[in-house]
Amino acid sequence: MSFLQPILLWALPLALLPILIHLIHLHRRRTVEWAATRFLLAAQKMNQGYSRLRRILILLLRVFAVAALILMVCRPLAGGLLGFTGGAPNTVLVLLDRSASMEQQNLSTGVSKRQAGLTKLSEALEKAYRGRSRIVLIDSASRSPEAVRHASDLTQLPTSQGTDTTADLPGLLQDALDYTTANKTGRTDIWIVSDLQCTDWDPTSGRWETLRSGFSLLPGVKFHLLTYPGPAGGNLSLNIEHLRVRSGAQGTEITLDLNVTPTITPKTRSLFPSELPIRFVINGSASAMRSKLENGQLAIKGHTIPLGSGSIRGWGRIEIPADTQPADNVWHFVFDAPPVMRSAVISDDPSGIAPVMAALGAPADPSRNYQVDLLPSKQVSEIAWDETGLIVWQIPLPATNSNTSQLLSAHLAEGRSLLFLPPATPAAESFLGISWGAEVNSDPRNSRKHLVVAK
Amino acid sequence: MALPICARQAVIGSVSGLHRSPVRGSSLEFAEYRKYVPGDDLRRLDWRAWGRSDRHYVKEFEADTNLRLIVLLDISGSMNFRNTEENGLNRIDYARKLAGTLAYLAARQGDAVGFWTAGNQGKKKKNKQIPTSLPARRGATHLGTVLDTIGDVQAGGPTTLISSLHEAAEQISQRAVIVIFSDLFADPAELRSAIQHLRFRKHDVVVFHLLDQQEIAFDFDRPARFIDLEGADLVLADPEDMAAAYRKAFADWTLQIDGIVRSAGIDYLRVMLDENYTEVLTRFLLARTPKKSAR
Repeated sequence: MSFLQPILLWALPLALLPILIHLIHLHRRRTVEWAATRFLLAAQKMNQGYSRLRRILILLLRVFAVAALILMVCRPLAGGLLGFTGGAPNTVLVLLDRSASMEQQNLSTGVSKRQAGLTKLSEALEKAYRGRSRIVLIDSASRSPEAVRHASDLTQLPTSQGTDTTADLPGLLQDALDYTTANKTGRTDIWIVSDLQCTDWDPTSGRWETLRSGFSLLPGVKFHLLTYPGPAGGNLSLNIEHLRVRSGAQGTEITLDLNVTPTITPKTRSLFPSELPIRFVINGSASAMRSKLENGQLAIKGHTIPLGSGSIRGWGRIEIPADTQPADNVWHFVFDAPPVMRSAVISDDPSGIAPVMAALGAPADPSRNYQVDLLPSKQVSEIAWDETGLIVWQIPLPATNSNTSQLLSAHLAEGRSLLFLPPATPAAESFLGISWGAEVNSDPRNSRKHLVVAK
Repeated sequence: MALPICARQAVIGSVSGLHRSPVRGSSLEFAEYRKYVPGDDLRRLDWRAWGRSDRHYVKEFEADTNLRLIVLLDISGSMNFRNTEENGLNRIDYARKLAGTLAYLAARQGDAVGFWTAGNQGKKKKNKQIPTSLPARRGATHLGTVLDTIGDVQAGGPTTLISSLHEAAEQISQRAVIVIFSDLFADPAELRSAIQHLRFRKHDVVVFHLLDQQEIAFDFDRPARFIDLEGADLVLADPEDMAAAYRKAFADWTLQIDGIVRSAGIDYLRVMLDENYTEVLTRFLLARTPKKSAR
C-alpha cells in the first residue's frame, strides 16, 4: 500500500485522541456522595466483564475510526489483497500538466511539482497495479497519447519533462475522451497531474459541458486528481518589458526596462531578500548589479549596457538567483542592428506614384533605415520577397493562379502588407476575390477616377 | 384534636394511660371471668353469675396504662445522603423531623419517650457530649432532653444498625413501641435476625424506611465518581453500563426487606425523602388508630 499524501501520516497519532479524551473524562468525573454503594458494587460485580469489554470495544472503534479517517485523507492506493476496490483497471491514462507553473520547486527538496507528482504517481501505479494495466501518457505540450511500458518510465520520458508552455486541461481531457472512445480502453483510470492553475483549467469554458456528457457515456472511467495547488512561495519572477539596441555618440548600447515581481504567500512573506543581485551576460561577458527590493518588488527603467564599438549583434541573458520557479529566473534574448524597412512600389506611372514613394521613404523612426524600390510591371519578378514588408501595387491585378498571384498570396500569408492602388487601365482580373469595379466620379469638379472595389 | 399514638399490643406502663395493659385493672372495660380464690376482694364477686350457676366468679376489667416510645435513629454515614439533583433535606434531617414530632406527640399524651442511636457518633456539635441512648421517661423536661439529643446527634461512619437493634432488644426490658428511622442499608439476613430479636422481646416495632427517588431510579446521565458515605469505597461508574444492574440489585433488596417485615409482623413505612413529613406521620398514625370495635 502506498499513499498519495504520505505527509499526512504524521497525523496518525491523532488516532489516540479518543483514549486521551477517555482518560481526561476519567479524571474529570463529578463526585457524588452516595449511600447505596452496596448496590453499585453489586452492579459492578455483575457487569464487570461485559462492561469492560464494551468500553474497550467502543474505545477501539473510535481509535479505528479516527485512524481510518486519517488514512483516507492520505489517499491510499492498494493493490493485491488490499485492493478490494476491484483490482487493476485495463488502462491507466495519465494526463500530465507540463505548464511552466508545474516547475515550481520545493525549496527544501529542489523537486518540482511535476517531478513530485510523477514520482508519486509512478510509485503508486507500480505498487497498486503491478504492471497489469496499460499505461498511456498524454501531456499538455504534445497532446498525443504515448504508451508507457513501465510506470517507473513516467519520470524519464521526454514528453514528461517541463516546458515553458501553458496547458489546456479541457483540451487534454478531450484528448483523453477521444482516446478512450477510439481505443475502447475498457475499465480506465484517468490520473490528472496538475497544479490547478485557473488559466490552464479555464473553468468557464463551454467545453466542460461537452466533456461531462462525453465521459458520462463511459461507465468504466474513474478520475483521480493528483494536485499541488498551493503556489510555491518565495518566487521572484523576472520580466523584461522593453529591450532595444541603440547606437549613439558613445557607441552602441542596450537599453532595457525590467521588473521583478514576487509570489507572496503568508508563509513566505519574510523569505524575500532586501537586495537582489541581477546578472547580465552579453556575448559571454557578465556584469552584475544589486538592487533594493521594496516589498519583494523591483522595477528598473532604462537600464543601459554598453556594447562597445562595432558590436551590434549578439546574444544575452539576464539572471536573478534561483528560487522556487526556475522558469522565470532567466531571460534570454538576441539582438542585431535593426533591419531596413523595405517597401516595393510596382507602378508604370513613376511621376504619379512619387508622393507615395516619398511618404514610404520618410524616416518615421530616426533610428531605423527605410528603403523604397520602384519597379515597373515588367520587373515584378525582381521584387525581394523575403525582405520587403510592404508592396504597393499600382498595375493591373495579377492573373488568377499565376505565379505572381501565388507569390502575393504567400506574401500576405507571412503577415506582410499589400496595398493596391488603381492602375491607369484596370483589368477584369481578380485577386483573392477582389477586383476593380466601375469608375465612379463622385466629384464632378475632380477629373480623377475614384476606386470602387467590388466583387 | 390531635391523632394519638396507639400501641398495637398491650403495653406495661407505670401509670394510667391510653393504652391497653396486659394486667387487669379497674377500667370500665370488661375483660373476663375468673374463678374466685380465697383472698379475692369480695366486692368483685359477680353475684348474678353465682345466682345463675351456683359457682363463684370474679369479674375482671382491662387496665389502661401508658406506653414507652423508643425512638431509634440510625446515625450511620449513609443517613447523610442528600439528593444531588433536588437539593432537598438529607436523610438524617428528615428522620429528625419525624422522630421529634413523634416524641412530642407521645409525650403530650402522657407516654414515656426514650431515644436510641444506631451507629457511631459523627462529628460532635460544639464539642458537646451527646448521649447515645436515653431511657424512656415521662415529663416535659425529659422530652426536652430527647428533642435536644435528636437535634444534636450527628451521622457518620459505618452502620451499626444490626448490633444496635440487638443491643436495644437486650437492654429495653419492658415492652415498648420501638420506632426505627433508617435506610436499612444492612445485610438483609442480619436485619431479619435483629428485628426478630426485638419481636421476641415483645416490642412493638415500627420501621420508617427512608429512601430517596434518586437511589431507586439511579438516573444519572453521565459517568461519575461515587464516594461511599459510610467508608472509603470509591466506585467509578458509568450509569449507561450499570444502571440496569443497579436497579435490579436494588429491587431484589427491597423485595427482601418486604419479606422481612411481612414475616416479622411489624409496621413498615417506605418513605421517600421528597414526601411531606406531616403526611407521612398522618398516614402512620391513622394506620395505627384502632377501629371502635377492635378494642
